[in-house]
Amino acid sequence: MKIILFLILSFPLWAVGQELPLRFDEDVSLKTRMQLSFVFQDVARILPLSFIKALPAIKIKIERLSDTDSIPADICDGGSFIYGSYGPVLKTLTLHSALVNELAKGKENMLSIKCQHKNLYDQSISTIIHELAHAYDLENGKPSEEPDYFLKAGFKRGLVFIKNKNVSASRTPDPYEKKNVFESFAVNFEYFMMDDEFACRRPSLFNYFKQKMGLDPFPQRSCVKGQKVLVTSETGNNSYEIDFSRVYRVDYLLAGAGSALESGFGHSMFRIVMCAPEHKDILSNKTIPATPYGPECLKDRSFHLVVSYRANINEATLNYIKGIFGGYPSILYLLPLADVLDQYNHKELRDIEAYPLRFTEAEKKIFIEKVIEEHWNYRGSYKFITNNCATESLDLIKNILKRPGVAELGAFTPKGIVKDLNRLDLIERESKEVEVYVAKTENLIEAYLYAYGKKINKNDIINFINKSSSIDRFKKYETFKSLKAHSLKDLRIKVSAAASFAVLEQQIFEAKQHEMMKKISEKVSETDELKKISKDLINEMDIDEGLSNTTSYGIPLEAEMIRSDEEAVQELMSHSLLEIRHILTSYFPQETEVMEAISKRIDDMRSYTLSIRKEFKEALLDFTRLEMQKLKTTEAGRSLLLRVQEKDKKALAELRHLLGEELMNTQGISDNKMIQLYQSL
Amino acid sequence: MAFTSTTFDFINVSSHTTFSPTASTLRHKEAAQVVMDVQEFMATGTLSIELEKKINDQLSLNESLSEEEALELLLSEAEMILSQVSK
Repeated sequence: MKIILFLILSFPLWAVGQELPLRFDEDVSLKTRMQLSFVFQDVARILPLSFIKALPAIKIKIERLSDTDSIPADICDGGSFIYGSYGPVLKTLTLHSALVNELAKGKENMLSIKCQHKNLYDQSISTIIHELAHAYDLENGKPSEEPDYFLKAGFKRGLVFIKNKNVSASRTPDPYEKKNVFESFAVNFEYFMMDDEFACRRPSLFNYFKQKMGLDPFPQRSCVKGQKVLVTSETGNNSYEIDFSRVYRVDYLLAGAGSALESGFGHSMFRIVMCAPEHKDILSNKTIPATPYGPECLKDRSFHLVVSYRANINEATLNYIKGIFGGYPSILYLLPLADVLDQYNHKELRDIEAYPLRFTEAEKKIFIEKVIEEHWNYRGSYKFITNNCATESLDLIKNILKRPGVAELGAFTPKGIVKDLNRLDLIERESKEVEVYVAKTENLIEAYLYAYGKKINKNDIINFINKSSSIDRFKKYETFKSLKAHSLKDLRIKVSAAASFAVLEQQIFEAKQHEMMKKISEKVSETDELKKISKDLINEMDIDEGLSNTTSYGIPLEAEMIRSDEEAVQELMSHSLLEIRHILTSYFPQETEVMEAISKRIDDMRSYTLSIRKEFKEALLDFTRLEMQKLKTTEAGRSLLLRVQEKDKKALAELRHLLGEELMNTQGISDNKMIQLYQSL
Repeated sequence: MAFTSTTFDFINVSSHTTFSPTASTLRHKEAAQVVMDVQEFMATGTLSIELEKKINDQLSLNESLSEEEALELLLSEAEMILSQVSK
């Protein structure tokens, strides 16, 4: 007995094959030491040897660390309790006496909890690992303060301190990780060692610790890394799986400067060039085959995704819900490219440049993984200068690339990033591969020319869109409609003009809609009734909404991504939107009336355009038939028509030329139609 | 109730079916978008991304079609959908 007592009092805490450099403080009773020795054995069994060897000699104390003798019942519902602490000066690990009391009940009798490590025994183990992680960090050159760690953990080097950017993170295993980079290191190490799902939920931090510690604590894990994200479009958030094998390329996107203050520097984004998978066409319900992996995927633009840290309505808004949200935190959104182009090129009349990034296959894969991780984990705070779309985008690049010079990049404007990336040869500014998606301004100028018969400049067209009178436009349109087309050529011009009126009116509608969104945003903040509904909407639009397990952290696992109530969420949203519309009609009666009138007029313009287009097509067929009959009467004409019948391209072109190219272009009548027509004669 | 137009909803109607879950309601929006895009093409000669993709899809299903014919096909499908809704 004396020998056993001597061993317990004098020797370090051990486990099979590994030894923790810990000693109990002399005040700790023998009974407590014996109770805790099993816990420390478990800790020693879990921890990697390289970690244990790097620890200093540590003394263990038991104290009442917070103002309570027991672990509070509401510990998972905001209750406060300090499980343990580490004192770096005296190298002391202190455990809360209440936790030790719980441990005295034995492993089998420990309480379950709904948060963190799910039961108090594992919570005790994790507390010790957490505090030892502090000792490891402080004694080994503070790896937590190295960019390799803190960038992955969502921190950023400030002028003096390393600051947490992920201030509003909700999918966190333990909110304490947000306190500072040391706590972040300890919390994440604790989960790396104890949670077999950590690799799937926080892959980049898992890889960091795996490399650092030289081991994977759970090589037999069963979880599968999720590839799903929520793509935000006007219908809400829709789950979408990013299949890495279908990612052809990643581009840096630069949206040109807008006129508003917050868009004056442009906007930074990325494009993920996805190859279209096999899919159904909604209109025809036919199955369209997948695009083979390769440059052809660049044409699948309706499948491309945009990665954007977007803060509020003034940056590439896709729907007015965002306007109601107001100061939404900086989140990594995934958006359909078509939406983004529609917003910038069409609504805001801003160009977008796409610079292909020269990523290796491995870098591309890390980029996608990091995007998925940030999408679920990151909830920052958008600040115009220090934390904007450009700095966020640059941090993402810094986070994934290990190339020389990347860590030193310091641009804080979207254009600055282009320069930085060009300097590091990550993009080539003058490359032919750079695509520019041009603002629709020129199209509108052309439409104006067709509709009003006058060439105007960029400023004039913007003025027209924003300031022209609805009554004047209506009068002009009615006059136009009443004009008689005296020839086929007149009719063709009339078709283009009718379409042009519709295009201009649509642009005006969208400009008015944008204006109204702004007014709505202002109104929300001062109207209780709207505030309440917008709050509901925020909840309904929440990226976590509908996940089957909202208490989990990081990337949701496959099973948690089952948004079984997706339709219910959509329904709720529709209901809230209807409510808002209803209220708005009472707040903005005049605007509502104008919008409704424009909307009806656009419908009318659409019908009219389609009807005269049909008229033109029929008239063109009659004309062609007649001309062909005339041609048949001559030898040369017959010979030409015979060649046409044989689908001779030259003959078809010759026939078009003969009948008048202006009318007989392929848009008016196709080659096949001409052949059919001849055959019917 | 305001904004009952079949084509132009108060919320932006541009349809992006690739990422949208409920195809039934979007079919109508999709059709409206095709008409809008065709109108823009008629006015300016510029094809939108969506329309270009749809034309390519049609061509991949039927190689004998010309681009113009694919566009005609799309437009007539869209018109049919819109006329069904308005009935």
